[in-house]
Amino acid sequence: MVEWHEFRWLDLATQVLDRQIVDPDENSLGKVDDLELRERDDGRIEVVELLLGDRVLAGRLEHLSRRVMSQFLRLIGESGEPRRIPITAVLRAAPAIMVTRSAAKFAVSPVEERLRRSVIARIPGSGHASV
Amino acid sequence: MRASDFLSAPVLSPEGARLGVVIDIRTRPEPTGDGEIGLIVDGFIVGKRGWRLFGYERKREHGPLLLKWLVGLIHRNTRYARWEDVEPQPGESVRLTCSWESLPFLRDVH
Repeated sequence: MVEWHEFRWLDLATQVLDRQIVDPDENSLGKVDDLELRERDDGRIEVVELLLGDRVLAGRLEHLSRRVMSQFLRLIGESGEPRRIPITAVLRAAPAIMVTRSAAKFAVSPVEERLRRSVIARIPGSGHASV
Repeated sequence: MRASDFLSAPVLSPEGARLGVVIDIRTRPEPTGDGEIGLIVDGFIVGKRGWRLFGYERKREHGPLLLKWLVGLIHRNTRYARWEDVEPQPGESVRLTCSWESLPFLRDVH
């Protein structure tokens, strides 16, 4: 788990939101589109998960942009469920957010994965490209 | 409840008057019950306008100097509302329990 101790504070919008997420091999998994928060028994609010997904991102947009993006996502078959990474799976918080290998499996975009299998893989020579 | 429920949310006075917006959510590491270290919301960075921070409020960011000066000018009245000074209402607003003027300036919070 990440040594949060190096941070006295972490400002979520400035230091976490929209940051790149990488696996332990530095492969990009996407960006932090939002964060799930939870109210504890004592009333304090804690961060529990990083959220990824185009629909999560669409939820942060202004009304018109959100509608346009939602229509587009429906066309390409993006599911509404966000991909979730527990905050306890974060190994490093800066400059990119590194997560554990097991958490990285859940962070891969299904649309990108489908495109990779059905389109990119059929392009001659694609097997030689670094992922 | 999501971070975006708070970001850009209106900041209200104890009487309900609109005073500004939430610019950022400040968290701090704190042990959780199960022995892990979690991130707990410590307070809200609030301003009259929703101009984002650019990292110059953190001491290790120094340059470019012109940009640092400009961001300092934009955020000269940005303040910090500690957890004890707010009543968060996710998706709606953040209501202060004290006056806007009694909140410390962000530049004075170390």
